[in-house]
Amino acid sequence: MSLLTPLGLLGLIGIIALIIIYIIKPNYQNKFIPSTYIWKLSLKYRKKRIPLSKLRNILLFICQILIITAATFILAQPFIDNALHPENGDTVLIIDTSASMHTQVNYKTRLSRAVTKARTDAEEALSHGNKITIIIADEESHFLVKQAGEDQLELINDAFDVLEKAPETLYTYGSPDIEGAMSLSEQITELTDNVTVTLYTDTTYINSGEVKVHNVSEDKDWNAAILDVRTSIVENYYRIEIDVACYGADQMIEVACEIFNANDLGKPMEIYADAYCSGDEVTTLVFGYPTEDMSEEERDLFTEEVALFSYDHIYAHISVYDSLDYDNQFYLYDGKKPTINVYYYSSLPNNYFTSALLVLQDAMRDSFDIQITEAVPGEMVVEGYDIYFYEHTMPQTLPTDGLVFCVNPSKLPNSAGIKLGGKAGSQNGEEIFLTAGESHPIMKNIDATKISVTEFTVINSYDEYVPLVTFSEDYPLPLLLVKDEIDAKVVIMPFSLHYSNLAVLPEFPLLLKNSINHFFPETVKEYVFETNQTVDLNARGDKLEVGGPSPELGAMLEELPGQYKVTKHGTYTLTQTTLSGDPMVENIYVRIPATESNIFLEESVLVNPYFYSDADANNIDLLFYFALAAVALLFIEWWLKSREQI
Amino acid sequence: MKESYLNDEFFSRLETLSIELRADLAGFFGGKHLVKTYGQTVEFADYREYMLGDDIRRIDWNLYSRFEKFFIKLFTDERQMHTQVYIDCSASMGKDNPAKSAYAVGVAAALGYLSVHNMDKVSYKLIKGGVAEDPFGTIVGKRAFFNAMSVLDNLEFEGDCDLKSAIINTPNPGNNDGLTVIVSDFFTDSDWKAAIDYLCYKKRQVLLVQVLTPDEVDPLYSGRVNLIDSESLDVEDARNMKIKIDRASQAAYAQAMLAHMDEIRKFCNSRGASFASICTDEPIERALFKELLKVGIMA
Repeated sequence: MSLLTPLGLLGLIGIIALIIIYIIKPNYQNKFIPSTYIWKLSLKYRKKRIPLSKLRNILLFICQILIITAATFILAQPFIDNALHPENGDTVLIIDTSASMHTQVNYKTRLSRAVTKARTDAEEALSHGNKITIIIADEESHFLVKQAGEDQLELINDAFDVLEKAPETLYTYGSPDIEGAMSLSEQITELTDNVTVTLYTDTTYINSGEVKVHNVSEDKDWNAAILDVRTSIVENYYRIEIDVACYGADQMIEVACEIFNANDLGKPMEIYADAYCSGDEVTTLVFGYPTEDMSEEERDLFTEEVALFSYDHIYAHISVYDSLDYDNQFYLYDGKKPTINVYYYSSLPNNYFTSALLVLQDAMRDSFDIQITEAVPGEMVVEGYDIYFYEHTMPQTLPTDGLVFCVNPSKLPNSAGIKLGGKAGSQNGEEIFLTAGESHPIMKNIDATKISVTEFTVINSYDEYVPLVTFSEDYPLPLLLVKDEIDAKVVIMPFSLHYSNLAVLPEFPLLLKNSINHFFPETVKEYVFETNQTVDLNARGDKLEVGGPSPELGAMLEELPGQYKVTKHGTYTLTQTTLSGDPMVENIYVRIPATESNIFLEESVLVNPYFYSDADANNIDLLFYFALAAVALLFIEWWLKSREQI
Repeated sequence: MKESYLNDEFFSRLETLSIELRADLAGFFGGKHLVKTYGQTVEFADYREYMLGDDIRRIDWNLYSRFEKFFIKLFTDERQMHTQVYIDCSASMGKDNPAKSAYAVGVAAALGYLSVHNMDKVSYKLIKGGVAEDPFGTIVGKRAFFNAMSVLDNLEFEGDCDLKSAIINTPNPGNNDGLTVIVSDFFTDSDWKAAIDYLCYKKRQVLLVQVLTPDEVDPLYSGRVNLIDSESLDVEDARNMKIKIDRASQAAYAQAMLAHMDEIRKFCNSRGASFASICTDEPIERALFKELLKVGIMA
């Protein structure tokens, strides 16, 4: 017998109340009568009837207990679960293989317990002539076995063998796709009207509907986790916040935080702090440097005072022997940004470029570390930088290891592929507003019609270049060209900034920013991801090598920008070759979802598949019988009471 | 308003009745009750052979002519009786139930009125504790009777009563001269049997009238109750009792009540006394006409 609402059994407390009522001596009410003479005489007659009266009282008491018990069971809605093994029906077994199911106690994981139970249930269902369907609820649920009967016993056994012996092939380190699993099970529930669905998981569902939930978690399980590490800059100092939690136990946890190349000192800085975690609440440790203008309350927020203004990466970890160690460490690789070395050479230096570049240096500090080198006139460099700005005087050969800006070139080397003509411009110094040419990413949000020139150099031929800005529609003389090829990335501006309003427009730094973003895209925009998340990747070159925490997780991306799905927690290495041919390595960290760290997760509702028939029709509802029994007992109790009183 | 049956209408209805007394009572001269003995009335009773000393005027010469023997005529004798009405004035008779007290007084008054209406004497003895008070003396005539009724109407019922002590110790209980009525509920441990024996020894005709309320005949209350006796002194008095009244208790009560009434009835029968048990839910006239007629006291 099963109970639909086991909480109804709390009604048995009524029996205790009944016993208390019987124990507590009731008050005797005073009754004034003329004489007690006859009542006293009646006592001798009454004695003969005492045994019957006592028996009636005992029967009455038993009857009342039985009534309370019957009413309690009515509340609990009892039924005989025939549906677990409907004859010749379908049994769907959904196994949650998410990260929290890898929680281990005494060398046995929750997943192994789930598989064992599922196997037992499958055997029993097969003995009733049922067909078995096994759905794996990993990050993308799928069928492992679909409607296999006893004639396909080998297939079923093989599936369970895989689950038992090589579960890692069906693991996910992320969250389970329960909704997808339920959606898949609908393919079965729509085919047959005699089906049961059982979910083997470690999540508690308050309302599981018609789906049976087998919870494989144990009280002995517990998990301490570093949920998140993040940094922010406050008054030029880094503030590190570490979120720690402990599920299934109240513990004092020592958190170790190693800051690599802290303050460019070349050696790691180590910080230790204790966090008391209880009641599944998240505790946040804060390491930072309180400034003078902070209030006492703000200062109290700091766990440790640390003066940190630069770092490469942070490694936070806890050393505990808990049931799940996937979340006992955390890497944060956002300290060191990719460097872009910029070289500016001008025969007539001006502040336009350097000012714009300084603005970009500050604006893009979260993405790049832009280092600007202003060349000494006469000392021209053609290699070793990422971006070259040549103004007026051009080098003999253009660099090939970076992006080259040629501004107002007097002449260009033949290898540039440009034939310059003479000067042109307005006769009376009147501003000539330009026209947009072909579109290109570096022209994003730039309105060419706002740019004006008074004098420019005519370009006679520019075969391999794309004109982005022209003189006019009638005279499409190019005034901004770009060459974007693997071995040559060149931008030509055949006019001086002194003869243009470009330098004072926001379009100028925007052009530089777009150029950096296009030619030196960020490999990755974030440094922390969750398992099974798809990461958007890009590279300066045409290839990006992804290295995962396990050898089989590596990949080479040749179509960029591209995407990569991170399936396992740990550090992923992103390796690319820059235009200069130097390797550039960046790291990202993938963690398991915070919901998986909570190994005693509770959800209110389990999404059910659509059952085309009422699965409960297979159950034998005992409510009617208990109600009948309650009515009969009430009638007996009434009869006994009526015999007792007038 | 205090309940009372003592009104003109009540007494006027009684005038159709009379008290039937035994013929063997002696009584007093001048009454209306026929007795066994022969007297000086004009109603012929019997003949007797002439004995020396008899009044020759009473010789029946017709019989002499027939039998040539002398016979004298005997005439019935009518005597005046003395009805003594003992009223139980204990608390159980009406301290908390005015209807019961009024009923008892009504019955006592009815019997008294019938007596004085038939030219008999009546006296009321109020039993209070072990003493029978006689506040009115011997009442003769209706005027004295109604004077006594005005007092009886305001009778106080309290305390207990000892029937034996009160009746046996009554001065002038009479001897073979009338009816003694005891109006009580007989819910007493006192030896009322001894009182009746004494009255029988005094050759009085005895009538026991038990007055009960419907609640005493068939109590409807139930549950856990602490029964407080109206004659108890306080809540801790031994007369009080805690009892859980259920169906069994009520059946036992009915059985006890029947047994008690049966005991009184049997004893009365064995002593030649009459016993009538009346309930206050019955109209008093019906009780008088029915119950007392049944026992032969009324006619």
